Amino acid sequence: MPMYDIKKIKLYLVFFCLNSLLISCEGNRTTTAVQVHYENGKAVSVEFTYDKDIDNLGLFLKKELKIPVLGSLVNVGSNKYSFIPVIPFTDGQTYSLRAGKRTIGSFTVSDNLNKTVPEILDIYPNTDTVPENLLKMYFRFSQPMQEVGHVLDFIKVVDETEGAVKEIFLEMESELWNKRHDLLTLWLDPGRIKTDLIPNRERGMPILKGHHYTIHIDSNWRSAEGLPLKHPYKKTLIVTQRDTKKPAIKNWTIDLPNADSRQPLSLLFSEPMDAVLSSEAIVIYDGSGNRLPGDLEVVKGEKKILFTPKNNWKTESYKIIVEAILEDLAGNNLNRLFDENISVKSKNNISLNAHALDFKID
Amino acid sequence: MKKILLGFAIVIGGFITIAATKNMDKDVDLTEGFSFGNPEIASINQLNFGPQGILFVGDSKKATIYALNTNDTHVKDKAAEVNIGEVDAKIAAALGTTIEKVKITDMAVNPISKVVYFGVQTEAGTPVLLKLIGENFESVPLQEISYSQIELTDPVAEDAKDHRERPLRVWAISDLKYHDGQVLVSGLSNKEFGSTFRSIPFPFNDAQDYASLEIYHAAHGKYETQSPIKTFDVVQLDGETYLMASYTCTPLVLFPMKELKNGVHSKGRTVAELGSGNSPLDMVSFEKEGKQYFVMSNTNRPIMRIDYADLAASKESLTEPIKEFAVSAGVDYVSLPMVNVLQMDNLDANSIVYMQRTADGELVLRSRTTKRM
Repeated sequence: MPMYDIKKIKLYLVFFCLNSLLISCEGNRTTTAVQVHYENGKAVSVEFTYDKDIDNLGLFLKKELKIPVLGSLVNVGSNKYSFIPVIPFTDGQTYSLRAGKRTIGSFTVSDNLNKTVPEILDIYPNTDTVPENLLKMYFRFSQPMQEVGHVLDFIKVVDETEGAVKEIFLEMESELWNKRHDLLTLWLDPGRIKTDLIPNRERGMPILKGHHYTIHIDSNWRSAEGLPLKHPYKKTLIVTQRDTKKPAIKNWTIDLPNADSRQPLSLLFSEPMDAVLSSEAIVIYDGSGNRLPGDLEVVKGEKKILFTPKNNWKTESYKIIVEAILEDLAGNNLNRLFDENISVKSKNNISLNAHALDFKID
Repeated sequence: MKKILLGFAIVIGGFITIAATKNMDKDVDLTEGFSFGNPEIASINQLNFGPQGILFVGDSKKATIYALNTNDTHVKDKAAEVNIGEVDAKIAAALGTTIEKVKITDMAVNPISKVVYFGVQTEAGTPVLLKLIGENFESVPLQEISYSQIELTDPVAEDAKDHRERPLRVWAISDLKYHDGQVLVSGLSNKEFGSTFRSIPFPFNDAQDYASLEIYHAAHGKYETQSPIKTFDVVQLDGETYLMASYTCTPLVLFPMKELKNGVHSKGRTVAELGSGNSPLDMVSFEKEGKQYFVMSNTNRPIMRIDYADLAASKESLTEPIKEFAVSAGVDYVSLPMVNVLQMDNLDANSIVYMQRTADGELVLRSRTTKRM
């Protein structure tokens, strides 16, 4: 019995030695340099040389043992391979190339590729004074922001009048970003704004008249490139009475520019309007019905736009066309109120797609 | 002779149309007009399977609906049980990144093969389509695929027709479903507040001849509520087809499908209130012991189960919205002991697959027999 044990141990020892020799030998022979290829600052593929059977090759996150990275392995020359992952490799991560359980190469993706820190350029409304039925806010960033996580994790609203944290924004599965992912729209919960809906009856308005609020934006909000915001941001809201009127285009005033100049035309609203819609829903036509090229700027405070034409103004009649979808801060557009009482018959049932303002330059 | 031929062609044409509507799955190859290549999908926000292994993808960034031919048509009647832990960590590892850099946007089961598909969005914005084979995730390459597409265009104001350089309105596609030759799409605008619901004939045609519907529902006393749809399903009640929609700010509302026509303002009927601070996430219908049920997952409530018979029976009172308004609950529902369910779909005739965030924060993917739903 003791003899048997000794033999067994010897056998194991011999096997161990041989095995370790083989590993070190083969390890030296097959360790390969992995070259990372970058395109537009992204690590899009790696290239390496390997002269064995590629069937058991796998590329893994360094600490991951089971799940290989999905992608395609392409033979790009004799014993030379390129691996293209489904999404670019992650900045700063280290990856291992393994044959079975053995690591035959590794690489770390560069984390410093001329990235710029994201900033918030504007929060609309710019004006701090808002009606109690404020419907939405926009956040404009200097670059595309992360497409993962939930935006409301980075936004905290404090009711300074009560000294309490409040949830005022509608949580949405489909977040409302523009295509470039640098403009976010947040709605104040419409169910709480609309008169007599159950959320309105049970929880009341999202923001209350007479209260002051501070919106805190966390600097951990990252750009699409993975960098956090430059610093935390704050926005104040001072809440006034409910806005129950449609924007009255007849009360808007025009400051006329001089003929033969490129002076801006100024259109003054009778109340602050939705900044993003204002920049898109207003166009100017000349006397022949052609659209006037030029730049339209929404002045801070959202009560005024300035239109600077590309060419000089002529002595003629012009027309400002305002699409009916243009809303004020409470979501009332030129045709209807956001919260409309349908038992009160409107005197004028004609809904125009757009409204016109005429002016003449002498 | 020409006349006779023409008559014959019309008869054939008529036959094909009937076949297309009656038995589309079997008789017509719906992928016939598809192109092969890179559809350049910019985001995967919604997924839903149609017939013949066609996967519909809602891309909010490009305001486009894609029909992808997955070629995944191997028939399987019964799905294997699904029980996978740390789904997000596994997907992140398979994409060579970390968990906070991925987001699962939607999940859909191919009714033919019973394979579960996932839409994944990554931090830098690359959309990924994955499918679950056994316990492993596999990538469905989106660069070389057979597809067709349709862009969701905006009805532009008559008086501003030549307003060409205006930026494309963003529609976050909030839900998408294929039903009887139509792709139904609900959307939310990032600018003006309003209701958008479209039905687009499939196969998509070049004329983009689809209905753009605006829906009003007046179930709230004297106030009109115009609001975007968040999620919806198509249900059959007493032989009639209804759209069952849930809104961003209101409860469940039923609309007869036949009333949803281009330019027609349809008034829906409220069938259930869900309580404030809650909004539905996903809806699934199934049959159990000869009865039809409908379950809905929510942001702040457990899964609710509603009996179709109760929906049908509630019809009378719902025609008077103001009366209905005094009742806070509407149709009865049963709360199932399942919370934080983020995604659901029918796995096979007798089971549901769902993705759930458990109490300890783990994201799990499981199947459950409808007997226990």
